[in-house]
Amino acid sequence: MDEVAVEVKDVKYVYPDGFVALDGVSLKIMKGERAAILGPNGAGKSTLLMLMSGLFMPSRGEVNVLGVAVDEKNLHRIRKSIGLVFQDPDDQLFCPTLWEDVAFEPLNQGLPEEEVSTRTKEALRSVRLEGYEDKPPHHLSAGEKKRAAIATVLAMPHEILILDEPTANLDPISRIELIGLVNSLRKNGNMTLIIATHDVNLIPDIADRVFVLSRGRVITEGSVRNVLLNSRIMGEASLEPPIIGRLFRLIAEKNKGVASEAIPLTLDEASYEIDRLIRRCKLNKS
Amino acid sequence: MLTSFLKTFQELVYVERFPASKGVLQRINPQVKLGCIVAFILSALAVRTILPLAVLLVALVILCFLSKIPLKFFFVRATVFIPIFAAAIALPLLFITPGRLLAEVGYAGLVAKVTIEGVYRAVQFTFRIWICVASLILLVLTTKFSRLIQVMKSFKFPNVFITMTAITYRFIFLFINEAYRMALAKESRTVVKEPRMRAIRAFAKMIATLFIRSYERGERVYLAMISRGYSGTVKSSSKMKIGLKDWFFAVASMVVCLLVLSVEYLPLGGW
Repeated sequence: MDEVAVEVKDVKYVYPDGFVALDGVSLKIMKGERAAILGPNGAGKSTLLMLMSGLFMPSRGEVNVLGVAVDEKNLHRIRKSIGLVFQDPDDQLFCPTLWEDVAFEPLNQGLPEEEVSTRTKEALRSVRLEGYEDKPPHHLSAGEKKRAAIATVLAMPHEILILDEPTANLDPISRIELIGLVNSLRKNGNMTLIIATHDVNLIPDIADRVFVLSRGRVITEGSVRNVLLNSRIMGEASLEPPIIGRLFRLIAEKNKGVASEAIPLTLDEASYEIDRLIRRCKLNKS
Repeated sequence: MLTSFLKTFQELVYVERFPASKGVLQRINPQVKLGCIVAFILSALAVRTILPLAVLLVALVILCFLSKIPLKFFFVRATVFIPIFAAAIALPLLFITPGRLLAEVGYAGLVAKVTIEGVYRAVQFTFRIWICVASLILLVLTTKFSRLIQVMKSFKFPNVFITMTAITYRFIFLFINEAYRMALAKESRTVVKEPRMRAIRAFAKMIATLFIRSYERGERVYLAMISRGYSGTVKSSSKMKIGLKDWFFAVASMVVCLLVLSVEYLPLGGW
């Protein structure tokens, strides 16, 4: 039986000013899964991530991480198993140099200096920021800051990696690099990935399952294809299906029977489908 | 005007090109450097005449030159903030110091007497402060901030003080940038010249907004810290070696300090 990485049961969270950010949220994310929490701005995605990391405590309901209840006495254990990358890297990077920022967690866990050094170097190498050790974070570009923020959690082995809006404020090249980086992280082990985003075009590239959050509630969950191509659900969450999916659906509607049933969502899938259609046209002509 | 002030402030305070250049002071171990600068400051505080301070000034200028820092920049940077304030503080010394009369300043029967000794004390006081500030500026201009933090750690400064200094340095520029963007946004929407009171009110609102934003960011940064295992103390690794050139620099600095103190006690007619 699959093991559960994160389980959220009927959670409600009310901010001190009375704003209800989440109300009755329940979800289950399995170990090794790549789960996306999709929702428009203000849907409660970041609040949910804070609850999963034990940074906020629910007003009602319960959160379990790797079978352990998130409460005051388990906080150390929870935080050790979860690496959280904040939406704004300027929140995440608070030390005068990149080296100190990446070494922060290993040092705080009391690891010997040599191991701290090895882990820090390795984390910086994995995000391709070797040679940036002495740089102050405010000298980095937005893409570099984001990669540096990821390096800060890679310095320790976390079973669950949580990314809040990983592609926010990134230029197209930095965005592509980040997708590659996130996918490469998972190849190195059985890490559970939880990504909160409103970027529907990002999800097919980095997630297997999607939870749609709207106005503090999970309105649906399912496979990427089933959820993202469901126009009704997407509309309810003030979102749209990915642009490639919309394009192929349009083609399929105008040319009945031409496009295949599986509408592509990624560039690779689209290129395969176009290739298939071209070959089919050539075959029909001949 | 606000935008240009913020820009100038940022340029003046935030200088990281000098610690990276290959000058003499940049090559000295930061612990030794801090020790020598503290010795300079203590010597400046120990003397009561101007000539010994001039010796220190010459030493600072030579170090500045050897460390490839433009002299003009160094003098502006060392003068604009604290010494100007010190000069204002020293003003009453002109009048309250007893001695030979230099001039009388006054209006309608209210007369204050400026004495030669008063002028000397005011100049000596301001000059002394300037030397102290300039010594520290030289340290800051030739040392990377992260190294300064490491030195503080190695000298067992309180952890709270080090953490606050490091975080202040990390975020001050972010907030200056934020203030700068807010000021730009305001200027872009200010079509006609606004009345002074309205401008002051808008400025006050900007300060309040910046305060709230910095408070909220502080909360988020704290969450980011505790999510990575922060529990009140920041641990660090810092190992700095002291080499031959550091010993040489330390000895040379001590010679300068001894020279300063001996000039103080030489019979040079009070100067």
